[in-house]
Amino acid sequence: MDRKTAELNHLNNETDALLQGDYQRAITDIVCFLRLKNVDDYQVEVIRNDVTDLLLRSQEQGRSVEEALGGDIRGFCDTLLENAGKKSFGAAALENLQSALICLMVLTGLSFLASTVEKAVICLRTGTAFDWQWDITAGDVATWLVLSAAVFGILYIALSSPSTGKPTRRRKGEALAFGVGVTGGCLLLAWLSASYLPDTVLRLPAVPAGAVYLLAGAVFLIRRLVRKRRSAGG
Amino acid sequence: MIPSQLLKGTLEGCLLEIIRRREIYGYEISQELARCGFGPISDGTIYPLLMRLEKNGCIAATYRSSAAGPRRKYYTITPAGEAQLRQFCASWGELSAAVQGLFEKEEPCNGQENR
Repeated sequence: MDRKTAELNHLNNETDALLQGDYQRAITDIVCFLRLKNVDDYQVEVIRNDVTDLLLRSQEQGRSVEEALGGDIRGFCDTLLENAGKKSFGAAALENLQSALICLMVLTGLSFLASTVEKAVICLRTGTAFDWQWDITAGDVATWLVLSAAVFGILYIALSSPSTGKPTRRRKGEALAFGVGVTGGCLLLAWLSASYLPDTVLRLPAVPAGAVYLLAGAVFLIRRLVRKRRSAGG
Repeated sequence: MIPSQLLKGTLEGCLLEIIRRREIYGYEISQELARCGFGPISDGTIYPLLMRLEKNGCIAATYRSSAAGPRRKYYTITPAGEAQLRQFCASWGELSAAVQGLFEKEEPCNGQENR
């Protein structure tokens, strides 16, 4: 997020707080929809400013969100999208690449942590020397690839079916079933890969690998903090 | 109240005409339309049209700070917008003359004879 966008984002955060109940939900839905649809970050903040102004006036007059936006919030969002500037192909590709890398880093990091803890427990129980190598099996690689693909699948579904308006009981039920299905699928995948693809395909030294993960985590956290401070500082 | 399907093609031209008269804040546009007899038209209908006109370079927007909330957007017409408005006026003239001609020359819809 560049400085100009961060400043407007900070202003919008302040004015959004003036909206109540349904108005607050409406602006959140609209902004999420535009962000998911790859609208340019600055353009999202411009629209957010204008729509917040529009909703605040309606709120003052005691009108409903439907009256303010013409009764069809989804249609309103689609029309906004038609006229909003999209992110360039390069910027969108860079963001997707970043998401893919973060996803892979988290998955491999968790796997590294689990493997190290397991080995430490075995050492303590049996009294054998700690193995300073990280064994990556074919099953691990398969799991990471499938889970990364699943993340993109979920993002794709989110991109193609915008959620505007109040969540209904049916939509909540579908979301719960989806979450249970994904968790079950992940557990099944982990079991299948551990059972059928146990061969080690790569052995990495554990200490440098751990250092890389710590460094990557620190860089990620620092970047987030800097962005947050820049946004809050206006 | 004018049906929205009937308004669809004409509202953009009407917005240009309102903006041509003076620099105007978005909210005042819906009030101006209501005052001219268009009935209540939601901001949710007007805002995307203003966005499109701005994107096409027909109007320009300036932000002014407001004590009550977010910055307010004021619109002015551009030379491209004036050209589009002239084109709209010409098309509208043709359409309204044609519709009027149709109803004057032929038997009216309610079946009564035209006098």
